[in-house]
Parts: sequence; C-alpha cells; structure tokens
Amino acid sequence: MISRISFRAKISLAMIAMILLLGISLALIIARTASRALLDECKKRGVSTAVHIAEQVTEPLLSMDLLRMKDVVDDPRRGDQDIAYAFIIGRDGKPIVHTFIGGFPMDLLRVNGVGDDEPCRVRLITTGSELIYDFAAPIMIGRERVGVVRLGVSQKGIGGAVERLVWSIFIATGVAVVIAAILGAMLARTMTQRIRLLQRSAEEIANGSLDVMTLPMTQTHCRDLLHCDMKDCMSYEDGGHGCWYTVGDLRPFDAGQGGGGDKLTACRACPVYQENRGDEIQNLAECFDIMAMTLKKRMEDLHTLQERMVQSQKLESLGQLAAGVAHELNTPLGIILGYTQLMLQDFSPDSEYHEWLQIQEKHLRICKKIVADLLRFSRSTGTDKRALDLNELLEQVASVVEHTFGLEKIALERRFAPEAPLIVGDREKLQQVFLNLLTNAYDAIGSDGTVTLSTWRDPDKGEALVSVADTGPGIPPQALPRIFDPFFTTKPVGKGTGLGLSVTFGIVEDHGGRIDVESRVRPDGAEAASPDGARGEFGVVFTLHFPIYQPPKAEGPAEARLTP
Amino acid sequence: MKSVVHKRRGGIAPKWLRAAALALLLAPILIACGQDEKPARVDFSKRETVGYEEPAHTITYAYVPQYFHRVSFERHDPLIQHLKRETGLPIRQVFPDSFDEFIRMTGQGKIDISFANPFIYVKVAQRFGSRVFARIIEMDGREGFRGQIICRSDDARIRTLADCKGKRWVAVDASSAGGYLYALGHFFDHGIRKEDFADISFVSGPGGQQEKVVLAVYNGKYDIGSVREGALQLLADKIDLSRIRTLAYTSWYPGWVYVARAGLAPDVLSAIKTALLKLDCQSVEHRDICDAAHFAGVLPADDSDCDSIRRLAAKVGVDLNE
Repeated sequence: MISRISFRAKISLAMIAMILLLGISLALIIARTASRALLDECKKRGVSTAVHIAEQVTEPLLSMDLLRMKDVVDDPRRGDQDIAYAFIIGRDGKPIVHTFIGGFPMDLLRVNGVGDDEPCRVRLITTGSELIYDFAAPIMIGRERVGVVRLGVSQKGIGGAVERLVWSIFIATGVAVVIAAILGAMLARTMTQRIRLLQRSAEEIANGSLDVMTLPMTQTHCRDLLHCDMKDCMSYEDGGHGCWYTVGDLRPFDAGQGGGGDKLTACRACPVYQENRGDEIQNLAECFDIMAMTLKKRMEDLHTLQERMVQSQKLESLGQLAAGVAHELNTPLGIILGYTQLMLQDFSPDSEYHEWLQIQEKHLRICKKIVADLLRFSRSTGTDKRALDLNELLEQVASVVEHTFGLEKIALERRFAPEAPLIVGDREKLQQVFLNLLTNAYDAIGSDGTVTLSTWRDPDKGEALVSVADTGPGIPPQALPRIFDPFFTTKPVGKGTGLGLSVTFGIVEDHGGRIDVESRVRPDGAEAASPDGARGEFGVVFTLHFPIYQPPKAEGPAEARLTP
Repeated sequence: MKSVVHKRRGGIAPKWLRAAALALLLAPILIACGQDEKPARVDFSKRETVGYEEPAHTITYAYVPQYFHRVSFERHDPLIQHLKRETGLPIRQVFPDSFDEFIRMTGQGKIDISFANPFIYVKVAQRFGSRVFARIIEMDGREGFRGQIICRSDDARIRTLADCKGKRWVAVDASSAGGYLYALGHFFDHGIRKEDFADISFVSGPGGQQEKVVLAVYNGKYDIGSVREGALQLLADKIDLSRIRTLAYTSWYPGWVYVARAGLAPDVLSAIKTALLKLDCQSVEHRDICDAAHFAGVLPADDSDCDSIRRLAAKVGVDLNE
C-alpha cells in the first residue's frame, strides 16, 4: 500500500505527520506543564495575597475598622478578575467582612480549616459550576490568632490561560503543517522532476537514442573558473557533464585536474567540483549521462571497427584478385618489355620509331612497377630480419635520393641520434619504407624545401623512432584518414599508384611498429617553411615507431641473423 | 552467467522499531495525563446576611495608641487574659486609632479601663471625670519616665538645644506626654517657645506614632523629633540607629497610669485594681505578662500623683480641655 503512494506524496505526508505529531505532543506536554506551572504560580500568588491581606487587615481588625477591612478584602479583586471572593473571619469564627453580594455562603466556613502553625492552607473547592482554589491564612499576633483570611481564586483563569496556550500551539502547528506541505511539495517536486527526467532518459536509451542529457547545464563552466584554453578538451564545450567524471576517462589528455592517482579524491578539492557538485540525485544523473555518453562512444568505436573490418576484408579480396592478375600480367609484360628493348637496338636513335619504342618502354616499366607493387602488397613475401642500425639504414637510403633531391633544391637534413637505435627488421623492406616516405616528401615539396630525417630513442616505451618531415603543403584533414588505403593518392594521374603508403604501412606493422601522421596544411599563398624548420609551421611528419632491439649480453655481429 | 535476485524488503519496520515508535507517540499523552486533586463541594446557594455585632456586657480595655495596634495587642493581651482569669469579667481590648479617638471613646463611655500617659489622664479626668487607680513601675525600675529630643546624626546645623530654633519639629501627638508635653516643657525651660520653631507637626494615621516620629526625622522630613525614652529601640531592627542623635532628655515625670471611666461599677473597678496589684512581676507566673506589657510592677495611685503634669501643662500654656 505505502509502496504505491507517489514519492512526492510520501515526502509531504511524512513532513505533515512529523509536524502534526510534534505539534500535538508539544501541545499536550506544554498544556500539562504550563497548567501545573500556572497552578503552582496561582497557588503561590494566592498564598501571597492571602498572607498580605492578613498583614494588612490586622490593624483594622483590632480596631474593628470595618471600612478599612472591607477595603482590604475588596482591593485584590479590583486588579484581578480571577479572585472569586475574600473574607475575614473573626476570633469567634464568624465572618466579619466579605466580598459576596447577596449574602455570605455559610457552607464556606465548613471547609479549609487552617491551623495556627500554618502560614496558609490551600483547598480546591467546587461550587458545581466553577472550580475555586480556597486559601486560608490565619491572622496571628504573636501566638494569638485574631482571625482568618479566606481568599478564593477561580481556576477559570488558569484554565483559560492554558486553553489560550494550547490554541496558540495548535494554530502554530496548523500554520507549520501548511508550510510543511508546501515545502514538502516543493522539495518533492525538485526530486521527482529529476527522477522523471532520469526515467525519460532511460526510456530514450531503451529506444536506441544515446544522445540524452539529464543534467541541466552547469552554472559555472570549468574553462571560466580555471581560465583554461584547452579547446581540445571535451569538457571545454561540454557544460553538461561533470569533468570529474570525464577527465582521464574520456578526455584525450590530462588537463591537470585529477590526472593520475585517485581522480575523484583529487577532484573534490577542485573549485570546479566545489562549484558544480550537487546532491545524490544530481550525482546519479551525472553518472547516468556519463554512462550514456560512454556507451555512445564505445558503440561508435565498435561501428568504426566493424567498418574497418569490412574494408579490410574487401581489401584482402581485392589483393588476392590483384595478385592473380599481377602474376598473370607479369610474365607477358616482361616479354613485351624484352622485345621492346631488342627492337630499340634495331632503330636509329634519331628515328621516329626509336622514340615511339622509348615511350612504349617507359610505360611498360610503369606497368611493371605497378604489377610489382601489387605483388608486394598482396603477397607476404619471405622476410630476412636482422638487427639493424637505423641511422646506417637511413643514411644508405638518403645517399641514394640526395642527388635527385638536390636537383629540385630540396635539402635533406639528417638529425640522427648519437647512439644508433637498433631494431630488428628486413633491410630491403625497410629501405623500401624509407624510400617510399622520402619519395612522397619529394613529390609533396616539388621544389625548394627541406626534408628532415630524424632518429631517436624512447627508452621508457622501448621504442626506436624515425621521423620523415617535409615542408610541403600538408595533407588535407579529410584525406588524412585514407592515406594508408590502397590506391588512394593525392598525386596527379600517372604520378602515383596509390600503393606506396599501403605497402609502407604493411611493412611497418609486419615489424611490430606503427606510423603516426601529423599534418599542418599550408594555406594558399603562404610561403613554405624555412629549410631548418622541418617540424615547422606546415608540412607532414611521418613518425615510425619500432620496438628497440635488446641485444643479448653476449653480443654477436651487428647483422647477426635472427630467428624470425 | 550468474543472475542476482534482490529480494524486495518489506516496507514496514521491524517489530521492535514499531514498538519504540508507538511508545514515542504515546509518551506525550502519558506525560500529559496526571491525577488532579479532588475538589470539596461547597454550596454557594445557601446565603446568609452577616455583620459585626458589638459584644454586649464586656469590660473594654484600651491602651493609648502610641504604637501599632499589633504591638498594643501583643503587649496587653496577656495582661487582659490575666485580668479575665482573676476577675472572671468579660474583658476585651479595644483599639482607638488616635489619641483624639481615645479621648472621644473615653468620653462616650466606650472604654472602661485604660492604660494612658498621665497627660491624657489629666485631660480625661478634667473633661470626663475619669479616675486613676494604679500606676506602673517602668522596666528600669523607675516610677516615672522622660522624653527624648532627637535629630539626625549628620545634621551639622543642630548641635545644641538652642539650634532647634527655627527648625521643623515633629511630635507624637498633642496629647502625648513623653512624645510632646515633656519636650515642650524642656524647650520652655531653656527659653524656647512654640513660636520659635519653624513648624510643629504631629504624626497622623492610626497607631505607631512613636515609630513614625523616629522615621520622619531619620528620613529628613523633619529636623527634630520628640519621643518617649525607649521608643528608638522599637526600630532597632528596621533602621540604622547610629544615624539618629539624642539631642536632649527631658526631666522625669510620672509614668503611665491605669484609669477607670467615671461611672464604672465600683466592684468591677475594685476587682480589676486588685488583679492588677496582685501582679508580681518577679514571679514566674506573672513575669511574662509584665515583660509583654513592658512594666516592672503596678502600684496603687491617686489623682494627686499627676499634679506635676497639671503644673507642666499650665506652665507651657496647654489647655486641658482642648
């Protein structure tokens, strides 16, 4: 039953019940306590008044000054409506003066007899319609009693005061209940609204939409609070997710807040967290949003991976097809090229036929190269891996192309690590890799530029690194993700087969390495970077990562053959 | 895959918690409930007209009201009880509010026996034919008493009796012996007349005249005051008596006397006189009576014992008929 009541009603009912209980309890306890306190106070006041009257009435009683005695008994009634009566009893036990109108109720003399040794005696009497506290104080002179003062104080006054007090408490309780109901409704509304929002978000996720935002935008953005200009940070524009969740998990780099160690502990001291943190429901909403966001990213990654797998399978099929075609074409092309070269000897170099044959030979060679590249791309040819000095390998390749580069005023700069980085690899294949990259750089620059070859080691990661940087125009961002795809090229028709970087990628992966590309596109009209700025403003930098070769303690020759 | 089933817990708290909550709820009610006292039934409908009735056939005894009635009662009630016991007469004490009322009541025959100062006596004897039949011995053993002229200790203007000229004088009553007449005679003997004072006032209101004079001087309302000797001690526990200086004592005059109104039955007078004279203040039986009445004994007296008062009154020009 209770579980079916809405959360908002539960909170409101709980608050109302609490205040009602508090109010009623307070009213009961205070009424009782106040009643007792007032009663005690009333008794004290009654005793005090009776004793005071006894003091005041002594002189006129002795002199039998009835007027003064009447004044004395009437006087307390003038300022106190609760005093029901007062009268003086003489030594003979008969009333002398009293405040009653219409005769003296003789029955009063029967009750509340007081001894000489008592300062005052209190007795509750009832007239049938009214409760009265009767106070009897003897009028003593020395050890002689000369009379008795009797004073009646109505309990109506006490009851009225208690009643007023209880009503005040009940009214205050009623007001508090109304306020509590309003506050409870407001409080519950803020909670239930957010819970409903969470519920709607969950429903959206269930329906397949992961673009949910349960949290409102934060009031104070972390970039403003920390004066951060890291625009790449995912929290830079995202004002809906707490960075204490995203930093380190979803952000691609550490912004210095909570990087390393216990992230949440570190974040608790951060002003961004202090400023934007909320209650448990906000935390839940934050977690929910982060969960949805993470889920979305993981699903996107999965989708990309699936696309790549499909592409890879397509390429594999294509490679097999190309290998078959290339294999079939390679022999006829070789024969045609052989006969073309023989025919070239039969014609005079000045003849028109000789020129045609030269053109034919040139294009046959291009065909031959395409076929050779296709074969390399599609076939996992045997490898001969040895420990290699990257500096030496690069120097060999550089020396081959340096002259050609020089013709187009392209400087080839070497920035080799002093300590030669050793890797394990196939010399010929790696030469091809570097040659491909240098040829790409040469083609990208055209003329007047610099190509920088660098090597270095990263002992922490156990990597030997090679970078080939050019001062060319750079690769457009839209082309960057596809540069390693087979047959993709940005070069003019006839200048590139689109297989060079695919082959390079395959060889590097075959060596357990990877290739990173960084490109800064030069805007139209901008000048090329200075020759010494290979990692300058514009151009492309290919960085190749190879596992460092760890030679055994008993070192063999540098090019000792390794077991593949 | 493991499946985890969360059991839904009951929404109601365990039994002990429910019992505790119930106890908490009931606590205020239990606290609020208590046993009230049972009232006595009084019937207010039975009404009677009541009033004071003067007791008939009683011998009235009055003490000249120089003190509060309470003091007068305390001092003389034991003596009245003694007289009642000794004479078998229904004697009761009455309390005139002032010297004038005392004289008036004596004249009206409302006071049969009175204990008065000799100045009052000579007045009521002159006016109403009252007769003195006994006199007391003061607590110090003297048969007479005297008056006392007082001022404030810090009043540097009054060093000698002569300094009282031009000052405000408060006295007990125009019929007071120790509190006025004796002091007036003393001033007269020292060449100071009534007209030499800036003001001569008498305290007003019922009872407590001696004390009122002391308080009037103590509070600076008047410069000098006159009381009977011994009156200062009545206020020993109420004021700082060191702030009161006695400027002079008067001559000794006859002490207080017992007076019978004219026309009081001789047998009654005789019985009362006998009972009074029978008092032996040294005896265990009567010591408390004498101590309460502030005398050390009672002696027979006649009218001639107060002649010195008549002479003093004549000397200072007081008309006994006023």
